[in-house]
Amino acid sequence: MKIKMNALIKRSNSKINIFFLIGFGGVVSIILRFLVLNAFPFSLTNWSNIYILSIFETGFQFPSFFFYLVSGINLLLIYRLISQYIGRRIYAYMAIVVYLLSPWFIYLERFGSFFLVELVFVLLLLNGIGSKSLREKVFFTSAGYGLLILSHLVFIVLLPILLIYFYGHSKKIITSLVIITLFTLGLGFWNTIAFVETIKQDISIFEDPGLINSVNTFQGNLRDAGFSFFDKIVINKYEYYFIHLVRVILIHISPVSYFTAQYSMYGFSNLAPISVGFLIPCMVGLWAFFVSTDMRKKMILFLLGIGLMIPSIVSKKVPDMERLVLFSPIIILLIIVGFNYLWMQKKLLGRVLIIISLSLLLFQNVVFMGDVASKEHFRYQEFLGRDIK
Amino acid sequence: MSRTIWVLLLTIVFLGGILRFWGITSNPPSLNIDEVSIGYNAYSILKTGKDEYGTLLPLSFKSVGDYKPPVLVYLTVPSIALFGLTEFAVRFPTALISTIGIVIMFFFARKLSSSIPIALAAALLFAISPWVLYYSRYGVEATVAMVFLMAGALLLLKFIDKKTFIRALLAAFFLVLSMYAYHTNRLLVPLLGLAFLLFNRKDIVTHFKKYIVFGVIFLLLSCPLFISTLYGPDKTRAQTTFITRDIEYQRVVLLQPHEVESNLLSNDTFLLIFHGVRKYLNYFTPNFLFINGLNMTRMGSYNLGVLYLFEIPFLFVGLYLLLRNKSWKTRWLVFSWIILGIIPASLTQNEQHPLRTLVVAPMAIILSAIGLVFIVRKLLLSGYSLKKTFAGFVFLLFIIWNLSYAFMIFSVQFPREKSESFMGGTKETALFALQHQREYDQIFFDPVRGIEGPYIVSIPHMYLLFYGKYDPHTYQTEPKNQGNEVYGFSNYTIRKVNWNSDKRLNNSLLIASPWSLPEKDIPEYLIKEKVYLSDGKLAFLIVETMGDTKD
Repeated sequence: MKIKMNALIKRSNSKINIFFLIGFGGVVSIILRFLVLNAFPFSLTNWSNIYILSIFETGFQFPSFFFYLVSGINLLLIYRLISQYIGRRIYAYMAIVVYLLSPWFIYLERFGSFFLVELVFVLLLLNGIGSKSLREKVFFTSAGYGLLILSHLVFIVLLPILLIYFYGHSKKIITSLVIITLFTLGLGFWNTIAFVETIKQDISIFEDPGLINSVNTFQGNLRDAGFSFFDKIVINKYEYYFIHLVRVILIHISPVSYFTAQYSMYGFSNLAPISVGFLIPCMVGLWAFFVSTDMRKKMILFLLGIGLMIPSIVSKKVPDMERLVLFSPIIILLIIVGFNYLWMQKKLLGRVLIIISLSLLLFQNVVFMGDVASKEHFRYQEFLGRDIK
Repeated sequence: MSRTIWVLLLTIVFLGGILRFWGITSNPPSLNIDEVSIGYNAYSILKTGKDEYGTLLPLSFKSVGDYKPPVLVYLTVPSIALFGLTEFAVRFPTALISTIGIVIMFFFARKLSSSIPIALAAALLFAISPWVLYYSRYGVEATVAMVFLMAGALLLLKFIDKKTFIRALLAAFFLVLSMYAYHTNRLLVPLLGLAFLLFNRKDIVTHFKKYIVFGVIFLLLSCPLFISTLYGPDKTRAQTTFITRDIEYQRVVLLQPHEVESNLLSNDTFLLIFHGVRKYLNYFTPNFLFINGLNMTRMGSYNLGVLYLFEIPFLFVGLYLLLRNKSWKTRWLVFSWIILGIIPASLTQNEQHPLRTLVVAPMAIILSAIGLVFIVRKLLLSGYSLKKTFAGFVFLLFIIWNLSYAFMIFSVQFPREKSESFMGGTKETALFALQHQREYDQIFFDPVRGIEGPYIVSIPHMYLLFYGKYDPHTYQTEPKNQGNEVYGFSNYTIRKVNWNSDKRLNNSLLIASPWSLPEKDIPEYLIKEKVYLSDGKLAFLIVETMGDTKD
């Protein structure tokens, strides 16, 4: 009888938690979306460089509600993804709340970013990898990967990772991935100029003229100072590009880029892409990831994470917060793993950290709601020089 | 400790000493505002016992209104007594204390890790650390404060082991001395004290009386400082550097100068909290840590982070090992030091200030040292393999390249590109003025300079006092010309120069940047000297006036 009562209480507690989560997340997210909706006009961005559209020299226009629809699909896929990886529904709801409350997605919706659509493809791929049934695995993985490389050819870097992961597991997936890749590359023959152009636009990491100017100045200074022997050894174009690449990669793996307004979204916003309250669970999640013994899962997540960062890494803009949104599922996963780890430890410190995280989250959302309402549209005018309709 | 260890340690100290003292007077390229001020105030204390304003042995030096901490000034007094009022004398104390810091780092790391290899690695990394080196080669209070804090923390750890009165006294003395030495430590040391109380509560309860003795000594020694900070001139310093004056906070967060009203939910205080959090987290960005943290070259080009690029794997491995190793009893100090050490800098204006966070350097170095020793052990002790040897060789090449790159930044790029930040050229103008002082009725200095624009405010009078070895007693007592944006003594006047209005002055000398003295408007025969920065850009013109009779 006692056990039954306990189970009943546990179940009702869990329902209360889920109700609270969805209630809080839903209400705050609706208010935030409403405030952002009123702060700036809708504008489509970054629709010019999509591989398949460039090849056929065509384009699409979508109304603003389309992007809210896309977010809805993303929520479903995130729910499915977390349910697969963690196995508890409360964490899947929590992941939805992370998505709903993150200004990152809210702004991409408002600015009609194609990368929000591409996030659907990423989530399809991740769902495919995590699926238990082979049928689902083949379908989701192929669909996700196919749509991704049709959008940006640079995602071809994911192919070797996927091939290694599925090697010896499923010939079907490997065959379908190879066919998709060959088909996509073959499309390039249709319009070779567009093919080359899209690749050029995708990979523009070293196109900043400041880089080569700095190398020349440095070498000139060395020669003036009498170090003419060293000028090509100590610093040359390739070494400087290497430093640049290291810097760019480090920025991408630095939590600060995601949890503070270090790199403002669209060049004006004061909001962090993800609330700083989620930083603690994310760091704990990262720790749990490092200490876990499941090497196979670890490696695929690590390699996929790097692969999903690549479009932003090879971009001229550092970091490209739009392209980087494709990496967001990994962050959401880490946050949820972190919450799970803190909860399962059943230690005072874990509970305290959860309370601090949630309090920060609540506080930050309330403050930023006020900030968006009163100042964000002025920042939009001030820093982008655009008028509000 | 074996003789080999001593020899290794002395070799590291010798290497660190060379890196700190070699060419110390010419790199950084010239004395900056703070250094001349410290030097002249120390000279003034040596000669009269009073600072430039005539205050007897002050606890806070007003200087140019920034209220400098007293320790470095007093440490410079014997240096000036020994070497005279020279550039070397001003830079000597910081370089010397930093060199001694290598030895302290060795014992501190040994105490924390109970491992001699880690201690040696920490001493080596401290000796060559770009963060520590950069701030050891000129008169900087933060370096002195960092070394004293290490000494205090080491003595405190020793006091925990054996609770003698002498250890309590010395630990408290050095901890308080570090607070007197630099503003950051005034907040950090009490915060570390709280962490100490939290993590050593059992020991404190057991030996309550001994800790009370330590606490009383600490409070007695720090009392004057607390009074000065809370009610005295140091309060002004805190107010002028507080985060609310941060340009980004004012421009981006509050949207000044526009009058955008905040609402109840997001009032300025709440926004300030999140801006502070952002500033705090910014110190963990890779750009600051490994690429550009030291700002040793012009904007837009890569130079050096506060840690070397090759320390990336060491730092991560060290962090991982320390987090996993629960038996390491003193790890609370490493983490508290890093986490709390960044708080004071985050509460001030300016982005990512490597000087204000210098106090964290020892702990970052210890983490790197832990990683370094682990990786080297793994490579050496786990048997020979071609792959490992190749990886080790490639990484060694990378370290050599990284060190050569750092050397070139330090010795070539930095003095060329940062000459202006160190007030390059002001010394030459001061020396010219001193040499020709009697030939002119008035010598006018423009305090505003800059290559990109007239944005940099300097204090030429302090350079005149310093390089002229001006008698402190005379300077303290003589009448000075103090008006609206005008300051003068003897026949020197510091004020804005304007060629069009000043060219008719009789028998005067004008010293200013080309922004105030446009070269194309001035006849060649009136230009007495042109002063250039080390990168070849024109910094100052020294021009004779036409007078009424001349055309």
